[in-house]
Amino acid sequence: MTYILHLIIIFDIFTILCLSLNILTGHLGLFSLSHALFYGIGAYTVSLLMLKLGWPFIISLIFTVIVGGCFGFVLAKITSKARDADYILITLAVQVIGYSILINWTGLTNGPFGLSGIPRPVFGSNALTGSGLALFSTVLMGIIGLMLKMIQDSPFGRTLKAIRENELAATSFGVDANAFIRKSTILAGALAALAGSLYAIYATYIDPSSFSISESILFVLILVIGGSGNIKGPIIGALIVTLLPEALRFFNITANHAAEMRQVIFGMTIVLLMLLRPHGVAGAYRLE
Amino acid sequence: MIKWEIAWLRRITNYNSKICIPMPTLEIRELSKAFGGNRILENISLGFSGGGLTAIVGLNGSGKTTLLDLLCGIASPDDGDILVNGHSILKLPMHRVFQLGIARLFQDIRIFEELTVLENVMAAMPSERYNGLVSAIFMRPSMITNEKHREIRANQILKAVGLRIRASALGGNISYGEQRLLALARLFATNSSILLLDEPCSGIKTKLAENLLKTARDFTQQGSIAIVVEHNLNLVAKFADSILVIAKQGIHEVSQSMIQDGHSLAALIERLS
Amino acid sequence: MYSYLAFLGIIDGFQLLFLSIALSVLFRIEKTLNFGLAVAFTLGGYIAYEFSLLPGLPVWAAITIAVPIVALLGILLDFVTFWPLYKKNASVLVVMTTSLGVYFASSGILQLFWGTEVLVIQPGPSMTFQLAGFNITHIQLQNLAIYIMGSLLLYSAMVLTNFGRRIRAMGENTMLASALGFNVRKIRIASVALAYGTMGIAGALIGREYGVSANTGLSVFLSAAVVMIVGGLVSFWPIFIAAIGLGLVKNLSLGMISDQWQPTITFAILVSYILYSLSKIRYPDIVKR
Repeated sequence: MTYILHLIIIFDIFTILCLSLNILTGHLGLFSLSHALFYGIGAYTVSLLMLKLGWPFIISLIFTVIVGGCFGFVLAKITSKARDADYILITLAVQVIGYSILINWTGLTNGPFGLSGIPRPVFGSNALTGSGLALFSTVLMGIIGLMLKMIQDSPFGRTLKAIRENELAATSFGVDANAFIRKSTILAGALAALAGSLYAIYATYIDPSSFSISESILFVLILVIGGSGNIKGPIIGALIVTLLPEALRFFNITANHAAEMRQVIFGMTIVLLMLLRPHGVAGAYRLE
Repeated sequence: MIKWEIAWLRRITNYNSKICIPMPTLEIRELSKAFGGNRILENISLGFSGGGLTAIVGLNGSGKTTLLDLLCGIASPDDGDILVNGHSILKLPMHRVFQLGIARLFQDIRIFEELTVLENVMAAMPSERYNGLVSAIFMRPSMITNEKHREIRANQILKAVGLRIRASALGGNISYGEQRLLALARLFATNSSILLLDEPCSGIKTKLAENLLKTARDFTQQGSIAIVVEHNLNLVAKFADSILVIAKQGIHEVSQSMIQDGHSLAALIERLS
Repeated sequence: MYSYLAFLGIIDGFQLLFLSIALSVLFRIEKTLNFGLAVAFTLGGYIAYEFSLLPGLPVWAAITIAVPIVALLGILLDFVTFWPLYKKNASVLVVMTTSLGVYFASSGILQLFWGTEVLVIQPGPSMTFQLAGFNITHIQLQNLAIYIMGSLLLYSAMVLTNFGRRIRAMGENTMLASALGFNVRKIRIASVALAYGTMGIAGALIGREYGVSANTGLSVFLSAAVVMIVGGLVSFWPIFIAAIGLGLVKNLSLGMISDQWQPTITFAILVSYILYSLSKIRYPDIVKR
């Protein structure tokens, strides 16, 4: 039962991450390689607020989401003129620089040793554990999914697609593309930070290795595998990455090698998909 | 046979009076533009006021498309000014130039391929209060009602250009001729009073091209400005109310009485170039 | 201390020059960064390491055997993944995403075989020389010599030989190149072999000096990519200055800050360069597609 709850929580976290990345990569066609950094910013912010300042969880969570949104704004400003390859390179650079800061600013983040003893949220007099945490993360994931579906089906979502398809044409019809990209980046940053907060309170220990460039690449690959441009693609991608270790156990692959095997399987799946089905498993947007 | 109902089109698109000025004016003052040391346009001064289709013709490389690029804000001139209804557009970003009432039909169409034909037209409609992120979540009922109205208007525009039956097809999956019509439908959906059409007849059948230009000309009867860059001189001679020739020595207005057909226009262009 | 750091910076700089020229060979054709080359670097080191364990085999023989193996694996990889995409006229985004998949899968396989520890090719005492008051090892000198010769050879090949001209022509316009009778497939195979082989050599040389591990390939690849982007593809001196400059900045800064900040310096330079070049372009020109 505990293991099933673990899978549910991990699935919820990955789903929120993929849905947030989908706003940029799926709806706008912007390939961001800095998503793990926002994830990490969320994890560290909530942890520091709860550990060092003793703030209650809900206040810390709200503040973390705002901080994630602010970093999203900063990224949007830096990348305001960047598209295609330049955008990828700048987000890659931001990710590497951010990771360096996480690992070297030992006074704040405790460097490679990470932060431990992150308290679980307390409601009333009880700490949220197990089924309570799973329920909380699932409700949050549901609300975010619904919200993003509403955005997708609105004029805002249609404008994002128009920008992705042909930004010059969209701009010639009066769309301030940079404003739309900025708002989307703020939203994506805020949601990724929310996912990071969930991870921190669940794992109760975080270190920079969970927020490196490899993780950013992994999130993009998950999105490509599941599909982007709609809601179900990222959910399917999250489901695949959550259940993959289970599938590996059927082949007697031990936990020691599970991470490497995950990499091999993901990498090969991406290659096959790019050759045969660039939509991904259930995407609306064909990567091209 | 495609039926064009222009007055009806104007009525159904005329919901945003901000960019649909009844009698717009467009003024070009001593405009110059060079690319890499090569002077494309030099000291061009022109004035346009509502009513009538103006065709701009000239040899390849004479600066026709460059002029349109300058008018819609894609490029900025080296010297001179462009005024729309008295407002200079020089320092404005492209989306703000649109909001002053200038819309462009691109030579290379630029359809939103992964959006449906209906969504293409709806995407071109001017921004309204329900376009934002907050509206998408917190003003849902009003947004949905507004969307329904826009959908009705978009369907009416598509019906007018003969694309209603293709409304649910993806923009990338329709034929080239249909894409040209879709581009025109999008242009009408913008409700702009100054239309810039860059080689709208390129690659389509003569009958369709004639209907397209006739529609654009009829659109100007209500007072809008339409400027067309076109290589098909027969069509230009037939439908343009005024013709401007861009040549090395500058820009020349050609009176209709000097032109019988495309051949005479071509000969005139050669002489002036 | 700073003179020693400057010397290390010069070695690093020439290594980056060597790698960035090799990267540019494939970049011209694919128009995007191919992350598979990051794995070629690590693979070269690992294969040379394995061969160096054979009794009686000199280290240079091990490196010499490793290089064509890496080149052949690169050709095979290209045949299976990138060549079909090339024929389908896939966009640069698809090619880059595929290369990320290749990197991910390949580095997973490498970690399964070799783990994550640092393996040094034929460790042991090395000869040292005195230069300007500090000691340098014969390995460092050998590596420097190879980087300098390799860079000059590669650059000359790209600029002075017909092969290099054809690669550059193909990079500009593949269709025209085919129409002019270029054997596009052969040129591509040769470029892939050259790029992968060069990364393999560099991996083996680094494996002698510092050791090789699963994680070194990506950081070296990215540093070389930064040099290639900042230096450009047009002429030698900008890329030379970018390479030596980055090498010097990275190493001299060790005198002031921890080496963990090195990636920050490299990528801060990249971001500054990209933002500077974008600031000179008007917005609509960026999105004209």
